[in-house]
Amino acid sequence: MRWILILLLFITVCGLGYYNTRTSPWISVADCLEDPEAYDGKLVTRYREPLIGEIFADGFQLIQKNAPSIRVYADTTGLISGKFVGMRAVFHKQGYIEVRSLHVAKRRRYKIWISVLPVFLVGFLCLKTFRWNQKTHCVELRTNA
Amino acid sequence: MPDLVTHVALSHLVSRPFEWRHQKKTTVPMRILFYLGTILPDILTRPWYIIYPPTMEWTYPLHTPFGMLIICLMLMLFFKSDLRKKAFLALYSGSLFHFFLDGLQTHLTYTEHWLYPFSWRGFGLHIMWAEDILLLIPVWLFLIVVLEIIMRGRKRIHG
Repeated sequence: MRWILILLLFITVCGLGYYNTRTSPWISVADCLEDPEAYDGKLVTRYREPLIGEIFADGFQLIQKNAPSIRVYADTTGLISGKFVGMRAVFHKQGYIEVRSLHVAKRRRYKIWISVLPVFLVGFLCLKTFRWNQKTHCVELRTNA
Repeated sequence: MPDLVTHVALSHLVSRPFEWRHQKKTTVPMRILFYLGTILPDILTRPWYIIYPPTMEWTYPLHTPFGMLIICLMLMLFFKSDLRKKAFLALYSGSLFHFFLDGLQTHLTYTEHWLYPFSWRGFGLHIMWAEDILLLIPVWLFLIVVLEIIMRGRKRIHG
């Protein structure tokens, strides 16, 4: 019965993921480039690990991971090539986006790397406190915990 | 999201004082599950997104209170029957604390969808950028040291 419940909950989680792929209101650069007429003037709300590429006088090239790059028109003050960026930007059917507001996430890489430490710490504490019982197939407290 | 050091440090600062009066056998283990709950929404979603961003559409529900409810119910079932209720409460309250902290940070394009999948209404207080919260880590560590000195001092006096 317990394993059936776990399976049902797992299926529910997968269902939620599928539901999200069908219903999320996010608009990505790829969506816009696939159908420029339909997305002309729309706010792009989903970027995939966006990085500042080459910087020009009137903007920069946005580089994404596993997604198309795109020309961005923006105020270039404070931009640093190679840094992560967050944006509110409007797509134009000519194939570029125009920034409404922008934030350069200068320390995002540090944030990612520093976040690895607590994962190991909590993992270690869990292993020190709990154990898997092979007979009952349950997690239980270690006797010395 | 704030970094996970901030999540775990603040979860320690809010949970440790509950051991002020008395400590049961399960108090410390449940505090550890509370820590796990506070990092679970990010460790279930972020690594996949960072490695391969298109997975975000699939994993995003795990970074919502409803998605974590399902995950915590599932994890609860792996525990021994007498621990299940407490394990669920510790994990899920940790997750909700995670979403509360995420709700404090500033976003440009989207906010926290606390009512997902029932609504796409965004929540959040937009107080600080996630990178700025990173600078507060020494403060959290200092507060932890102070809290531990107080807790251990009290234990030494009262036994």
